[in-house]
Amino acid sequence: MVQEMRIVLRNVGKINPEVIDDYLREGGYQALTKAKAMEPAAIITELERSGRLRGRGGAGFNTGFKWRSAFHTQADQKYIICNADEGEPGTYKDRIILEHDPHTVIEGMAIAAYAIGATEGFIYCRAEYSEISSLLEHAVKQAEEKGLLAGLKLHVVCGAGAYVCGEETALIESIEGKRGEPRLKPPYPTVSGLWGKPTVVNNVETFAAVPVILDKGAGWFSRLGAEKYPGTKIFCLSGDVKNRTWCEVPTDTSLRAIIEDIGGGMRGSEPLKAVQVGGSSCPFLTPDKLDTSVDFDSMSVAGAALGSGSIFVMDASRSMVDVTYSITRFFQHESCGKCLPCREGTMRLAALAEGIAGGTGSRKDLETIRELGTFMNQASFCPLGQSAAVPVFSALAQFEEDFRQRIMEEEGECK
Amino acid sequence: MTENKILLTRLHKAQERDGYVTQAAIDEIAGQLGVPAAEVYQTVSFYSMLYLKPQGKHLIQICESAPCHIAGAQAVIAAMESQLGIRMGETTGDSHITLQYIQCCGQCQDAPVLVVDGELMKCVEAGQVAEILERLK
Repeated sequence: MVQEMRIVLRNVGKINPEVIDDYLREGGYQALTKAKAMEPAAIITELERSGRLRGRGGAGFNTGFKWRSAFHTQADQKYIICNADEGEPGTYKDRIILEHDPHTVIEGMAIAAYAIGATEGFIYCRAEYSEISSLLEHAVKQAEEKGLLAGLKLHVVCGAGAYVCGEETALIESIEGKRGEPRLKPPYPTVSGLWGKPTVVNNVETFAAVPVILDKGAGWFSRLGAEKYPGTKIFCLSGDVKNRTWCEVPTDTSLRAIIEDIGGGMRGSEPLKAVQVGGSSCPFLTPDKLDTSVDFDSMSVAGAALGSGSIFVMDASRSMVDVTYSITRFFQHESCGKCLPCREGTMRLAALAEGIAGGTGSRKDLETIRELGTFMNQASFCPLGQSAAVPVFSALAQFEEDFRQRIMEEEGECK
Repeated sequence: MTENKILLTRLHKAQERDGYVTQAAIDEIAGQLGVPAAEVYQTVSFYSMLYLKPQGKHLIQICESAPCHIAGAQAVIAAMESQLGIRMGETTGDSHITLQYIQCCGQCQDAPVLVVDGELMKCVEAGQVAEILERLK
């Protein structure tokens, strides 16, 4: 039976998120005090070498490396940004963190700002979480009044409904008041980010883990969970699982343990057919892969992705044709339109999927999808277009029967 | 002040005041920021939650992401469309209700999800649609 290990979510149920004194009572902002007594470079080394805290937004990049790059870039102004533009379908972990404990994120940002030498920061919170934006503004004000954010000015910026702004350079463009279209990298934001200044952009969950790592020590953190992706990770269950809930577990927990122990198994009598971990841009896993550890690298080896940590479970009553169609429509809507392969590709992909789902598809369409998806993957400007066809490929590879059956049914009817 | 520089914040405020981002608001903000109105317009036109046209008095937003999809969002959408006589993305002739898609709102534990005038409704079934619409009359 898997046991939850609440590190990032350590204060859930213990504090009132609107009351900073509650957070302080639980030891809040002590890690910031500890950090300020250290040399900035020492903080970065602590995270980078011992802690090996890897980004929790989905990319799994070494947080210390990122901070070091911004630390070493000379500039008159540096920025820190918290990416709270959680938008990957099936994901609600950042909402859970912010709803319960906004100060752990603010403290993590303050530590990062001190480490890299930033004096101004932004929390970019999606418009769908407007209540959380208000909670964050309230929390920032409280921290300022207590004098905890000396030397750092934090702002909360509300997004306006654009999935692509979860990509860090699109998010930066959005704060600058532009259309949320991704920038060409390099230069990376740590060299030239917000208004051309060195900028560190980290996910909510990444910042939230920072105070604990500094408090308990990087050595302690590095011994938790999987060796190469240490610590804990928050997962969100959705779909045909009995308990659609969230949990925080060590990263060496198996997918099966989360689905069966935390999720309580399947909701109905049908067996599990597919699991999509990480969000709509990620591949599907079949039941034989359930014993995979949920850490970043094990998921990649299994042909899947950890991504945001969402776990979308589908039972045998589901046709992957319909699920795939829903996903292609999502990407069609969310493509920013900057580059042709994604703009036109997501539209064509959705039209092809609609045809198959609606009964006018043909076997040739399956080949067209493969060809188009390969082109999108190779030629799109940013990860949105590059990965939009990933779930479609995965569904075709693992559940081709669903597609063939739907096409056969229709072709049969035509005769 | 950096805060005054943030265009999105200004646009949200203008929309809250006028119901959508009016041409007058675009001109005013552009003037204050010292940028061409076209620059402000192109930003507004990008974001799905900033509107360039008046919306209905009531706004019903429906999530159709994969977790909501398998939980029955399509049936809810079909009921909404047929009872209102409009398609998703449209506004009723009397400007009373606008129906639109919303991005995944991060409430996938309670799919399918609707947002009615900013208020979240969880685990919605097609059978509840008539009652929801009745309340907006």
